[in-house]
Amino acid sequence: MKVLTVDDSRMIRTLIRKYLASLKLEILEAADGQAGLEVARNTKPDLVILDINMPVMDGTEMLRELRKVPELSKTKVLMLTAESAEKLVLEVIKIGISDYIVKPFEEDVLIKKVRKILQIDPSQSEEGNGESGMTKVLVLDDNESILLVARRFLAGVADVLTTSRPEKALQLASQHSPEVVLLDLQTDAFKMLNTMKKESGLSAARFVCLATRSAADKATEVQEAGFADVLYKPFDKETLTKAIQG
Amino acid sequence: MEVINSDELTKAVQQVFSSLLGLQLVDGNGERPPDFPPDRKVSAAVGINGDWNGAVVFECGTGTACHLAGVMMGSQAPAHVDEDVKDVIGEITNMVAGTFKNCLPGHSILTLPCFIEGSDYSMDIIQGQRLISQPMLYEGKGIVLSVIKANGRH
Repeated sequence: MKVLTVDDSRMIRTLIRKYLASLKLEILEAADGQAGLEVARNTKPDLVILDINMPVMDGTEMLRELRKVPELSKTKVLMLTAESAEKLVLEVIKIGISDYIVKPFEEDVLIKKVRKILQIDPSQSEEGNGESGMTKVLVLDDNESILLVARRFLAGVADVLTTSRPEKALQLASQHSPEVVLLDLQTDAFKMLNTMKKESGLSAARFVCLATRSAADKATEVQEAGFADVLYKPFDKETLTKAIQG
Repeated sequence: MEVINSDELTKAVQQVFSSLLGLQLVDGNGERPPDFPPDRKVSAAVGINGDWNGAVVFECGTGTACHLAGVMMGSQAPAHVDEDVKDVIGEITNMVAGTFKNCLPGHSILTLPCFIEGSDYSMDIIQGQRLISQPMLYEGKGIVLSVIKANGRH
């Protein structure tokens, strides 16, 4: 299936491409409404993810033009906007959109909406089901921002499962048998490691401890507990990837 | 003088930093950020036009701007201000302005972001009034967010 992203920000287009990598869609891009219309005419996408505020031709006008083209009149459109003003949203809903997202948006929200619009069964996509052929990574951290960054940095690199709850982490470990597990030191990491090794069948998994710099004096203790590495927060993409690969 | 709650602006930018960049932004308690050189900075502004007229302005040092672009793109920070840096700072300002606009009365629209890089300049609206100037910090790096209202208009 083809998805066309129309946004004047390259950052947003890149982010959408990363976030949707696990769905194995063909992603097309355009930087304004006029260019988007041209790409849409040539490629007949299944879904257009459309920003509103753009130069040359804005999203509202592109949507109007899109609806005038017979073969594109029913193309599904997910509107992307920095503003949630009711009047504006009602205006674009009248022209015909499937749904909308207000920036800044979370990866999970985008994937969920795209799956719903394109009617993609979660079991048919690679996100978190272990069928992608990529390394399966489980991340447990009580800080949602860390989970978000981990998912973003590892999009397209690993098959990532994340949770902030220890009991859910144990459940995911048993169900998906990840090759790499990242455990936040604050979430009773030593006990979690032992339980996962003994009860979740992860004796061969690579365990990495997530810790703050202030816990650097515990590095020896962490390694003696069975962790292969310690990853200090905040981390960048390169450091995280190295910690995953070992 | 019109009173606009600076908490709304603070919440808006904290939400953007947390969701988009995974960074925790804290109040600078009114102090000038430590790495905000007056001779080397970038500014981005997004105008708000309609029932309320003005702009949201984001300012930081060039090093901070490059760092934010690196975090956003999941790569090393660019060595200098390039198109990616302009794009990221412009988009952050756009999202903050969009979130902030929802707290304003009536109906308004956002303009496209504009970006300025250089030295020894200040950004203002003609006959405008700076309602809020809020220094904030993440990981010891500083930014300043401002709201300017166009006088003589609603």
